[in-house]
Amino acid sequence: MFFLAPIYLLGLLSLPIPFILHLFEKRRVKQVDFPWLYLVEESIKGGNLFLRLREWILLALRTLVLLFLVMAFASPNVRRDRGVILIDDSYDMFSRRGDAILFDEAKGIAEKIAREKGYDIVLSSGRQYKDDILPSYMMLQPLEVEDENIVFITSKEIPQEGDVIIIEGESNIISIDTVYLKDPLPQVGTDNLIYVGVTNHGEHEIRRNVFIDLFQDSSYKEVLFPPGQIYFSIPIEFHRSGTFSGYVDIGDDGLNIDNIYYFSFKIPDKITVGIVGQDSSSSFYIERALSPGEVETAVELSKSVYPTLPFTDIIIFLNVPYIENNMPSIVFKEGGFMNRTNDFYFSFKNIDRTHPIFSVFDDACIDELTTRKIYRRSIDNIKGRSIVYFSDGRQAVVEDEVNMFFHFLPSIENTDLVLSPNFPPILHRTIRYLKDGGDYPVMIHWGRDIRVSVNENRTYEINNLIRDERWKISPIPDENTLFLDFSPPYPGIYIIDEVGEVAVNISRMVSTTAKFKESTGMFSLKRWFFLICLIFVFMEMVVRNLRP
Amino acid sequence: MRKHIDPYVIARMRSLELKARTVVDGFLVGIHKSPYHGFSQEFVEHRQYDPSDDPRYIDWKVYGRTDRFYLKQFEEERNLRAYIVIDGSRSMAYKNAGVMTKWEYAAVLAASFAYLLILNKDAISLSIFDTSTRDHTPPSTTRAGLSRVFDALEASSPNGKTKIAKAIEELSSKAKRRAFILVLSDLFDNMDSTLRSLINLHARGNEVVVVQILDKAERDFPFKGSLRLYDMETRDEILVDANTMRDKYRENMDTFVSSIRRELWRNNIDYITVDTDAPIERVLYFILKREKV
Repeated sequence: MFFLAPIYLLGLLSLPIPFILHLFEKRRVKQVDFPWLYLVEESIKGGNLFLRLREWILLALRTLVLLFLVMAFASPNVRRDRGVILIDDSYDMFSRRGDAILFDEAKGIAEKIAREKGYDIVLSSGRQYKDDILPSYMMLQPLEVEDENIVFITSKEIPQEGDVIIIEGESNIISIDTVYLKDPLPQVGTDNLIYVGVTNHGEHEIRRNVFIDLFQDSSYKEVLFPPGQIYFSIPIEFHRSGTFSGYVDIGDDGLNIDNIYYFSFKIPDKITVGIVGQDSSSSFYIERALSPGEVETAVELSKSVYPTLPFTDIIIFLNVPYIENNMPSIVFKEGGFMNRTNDFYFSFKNIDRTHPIFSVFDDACIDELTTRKIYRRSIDNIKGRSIVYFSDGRQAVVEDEVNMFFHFLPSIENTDLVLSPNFPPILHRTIRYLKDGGDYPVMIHWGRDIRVSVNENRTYEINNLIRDERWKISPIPDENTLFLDFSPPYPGIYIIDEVGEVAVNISRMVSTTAKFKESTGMFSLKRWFFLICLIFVFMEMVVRNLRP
Repeated sequence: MRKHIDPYVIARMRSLELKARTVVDGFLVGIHKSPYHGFSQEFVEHRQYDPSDDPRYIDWKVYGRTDRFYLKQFEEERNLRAYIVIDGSRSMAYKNAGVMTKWEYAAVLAASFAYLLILNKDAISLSIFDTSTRDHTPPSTTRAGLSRVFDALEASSPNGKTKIAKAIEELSSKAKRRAFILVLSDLFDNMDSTLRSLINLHARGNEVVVVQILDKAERDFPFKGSLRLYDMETRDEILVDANTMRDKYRENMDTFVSSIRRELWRNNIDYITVDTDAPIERVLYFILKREKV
């Protein structure tokens, strides 16, 4: 047995009180001088023993009342073997099976098992890749759940101990992973390409219609998706500067959820470049390099050593050997590059070698750029994610490995880092931005960035990575998703941490059996202790009124 | 109906001598109101008492036997030698329901009796005891002797444990010739040894009168609830629930008193039990008449 609120055990210091009161009671009993006790003794033969015994019994009962009362407040619990049902809720699980989706079927199975076996924690994974159920399984380890008491419900084979229930549906699942512009610094009036990164989670090639809506234009395209990840492009021309929002929709896939990816791009009419560690000759070349097109794009060079980042679109670091140490001095909170620690990590991958800028570099240089670790960064207080702010108010979550495109100026040496405003936002497509704060729910689909953490109060926590704020909420799940009744006051990226630690109501139907208990495998004895306490109180009253 | 002096009034008096005189005066007033019973041929050496006579010369022994008042002709030959044996143990200090402690009551009674006897030119001796005799005044017919009795009573206070039998035996050796022995005690001692000593005392030819003095609370046990009782002599303690043992206690007390009464009367020893709120002159009356008042 253990106690959830052990601080209350300090109340055990009050256990001597009944004994002290007993001593006071003893004194309080009327003390009378009597001339001759012989006749008194003759009159109470046997009765006195009863009185003494009664005193001791009362003392014991009062002490027990106090003991159980203190322990009850300390929340006594006992551990018991618990069973856990782990439901895979990756994208595969949203594929159809007849009229239902696999996830719903999994929920039904989980409900049945929960009722039959008395399992009362139901966990869902929160990731979308094949082995995504395993991290959740790893999170079970601190809960000390035996492997034989874990049931996995998934759509794929997993190398796992325990009871694995595989349910299969249609395997044609397409997920939209990313959308970005080929030219991260688009010019007005020039052609550009929108790249869409897609993963076919199935094992067969499938053909789907892709619809892109850019709010100035829309286009349709039929795309053949082989298994795995592919990128396809859609041409686009920006006729004006400004912010362009749109979405990509892949229809008629095996998913039963909307497969829409929202995006927005900014086409600046003016680029402000901030150069750190600059010299005058570099400025000239930078300006020329950034305005290659026919349409003149104004380039302003911030010539201060520490450019004001809210007004800077591109930051170029030149000849700054100790970037890591200098970074904190140029960090601004609004529109700036947040640097909580000096630890950064970026590697440059997927450089578009066809871009004119990179054509002047030889392969060795490119290789170095792609493998070089410039910074290694970890930000503990926003869950390992970096947030990048841009001057136009866009925000992005930066992963450890980033797809970045860079402008490299051939005459600039020792360039350490270039950041572009058209940095593709690494936002999960299932997070929908709120235009403005309002009292309406956020629909959050399970996915890579969606994690729900549970604190000791056992509520859900949603972290706003932008403002580093957190809200505690209680979930009211719907059929397909974890529908969180959450009213964010302003737009931002709302991340829910680590679903693996959560016991989730996957539907109202299973709320009675899958209802999240206070903690892992605990059975509360609190009510029983209060009941025992009451019984002792009743016994005390009875004994107190007993007569020989 | 005789009008008795309220013991409360007696208790409020300061001097023992004053108390004794008040009691005796009250007693004598009562005596004057007694009916005249006439002359008896049996006691030719006595002259029948006349209301004009000085009541100091009344032969009380004769009165006790005959219920008639006669004056002594030959005082010297008719003088009584009386021994008052008074219990001075700690238990006699008890007072609950009464107006005075048992000791105070016994002291007034003893002083009154002594005063009366001195008036009658009888000899009076006092013994105060606890575990043994701790104070003794030899027999005397004089006022000085009476003063010594008063002084001894006033100087003493109840203390120590009780051993009635030992005191009686000690007295027995002192009282050389037939005497009148008045025992004033609560008799809270071993009953067998107490009775044996009294019977032996009587068997030697002495006239023994036992007055058991009790407080009303000792008879009735009027206490309520849980009590811790402490023995006044031994300091033993006992926890009791008064409500549950009261009836049994009363029964045991009645048995105790009746057992003593039965044994003493069987052996022609006069015995009376009084509460400390009983009028003292009534007890005097009994002592002299040997009838229960």
